[in-house]
Amino acid sequence: MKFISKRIKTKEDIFSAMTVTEELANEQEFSIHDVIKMRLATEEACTNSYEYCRAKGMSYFLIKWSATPSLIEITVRQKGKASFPLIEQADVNTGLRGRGIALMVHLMDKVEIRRRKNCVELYMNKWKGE
Amino acid sequence: MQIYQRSRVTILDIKSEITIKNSDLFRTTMQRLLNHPSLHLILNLEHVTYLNSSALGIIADIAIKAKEAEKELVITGIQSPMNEIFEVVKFDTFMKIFSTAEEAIDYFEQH
Repeated sequence: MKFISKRIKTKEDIFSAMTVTEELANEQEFSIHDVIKMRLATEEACTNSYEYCRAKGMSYFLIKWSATPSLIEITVRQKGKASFPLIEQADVNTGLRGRGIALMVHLMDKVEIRRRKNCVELYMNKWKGE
Repeated sequence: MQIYQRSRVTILDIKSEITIKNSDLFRTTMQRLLNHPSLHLILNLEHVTYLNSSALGIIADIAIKAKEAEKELVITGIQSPMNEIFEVVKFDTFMKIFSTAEEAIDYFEQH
């Protein structure tokens, strides 16, 4: 099993995190489509936390990966108690924002919120071939 | 990102993925497309293998603004797996999506 973690402070770091996901998924020989989906879920999760941290004056958040040949797990951890509303949108959204969570839920096999003592984690995983 | 004219239709051809790195440029370019005098606008995504939710928001916003200006923006050439993304966000309920730019041009010529 392979573990990686990274501190995210800037948009450039988010792009770098997307590359980590892509490289890990390629190493584990996930399909091209699954690699794209995990890369996009990484960008959406990180952008969500990046905007939250900027609004709250926090300088960084963490992202962690764990990878095996059959499973990739990604966890984004931010300080505070803010939640990610994991709600499927029934109505059509024609606005500028508010699609990131719905995309993550669709792109990954599992997406859940884990509340810790002083932080909130967004956990997502994808199985090969699911 | 290249804007060009084909008969009465203006086409924006995207040649790269759209990520957090270039979504501001995409926003500016989409605004340029909207500001073009043509009433018929095509966003061609046939070379795009990746776009983020920010890009989706920009597309939706410009599509609605086009309608308000009595113009029409359509999307062409969505590639797999991005087609799944467009199904999730139900863009086909408020704008037309075609397989190719030629199909979209035919549609505009009949309207």
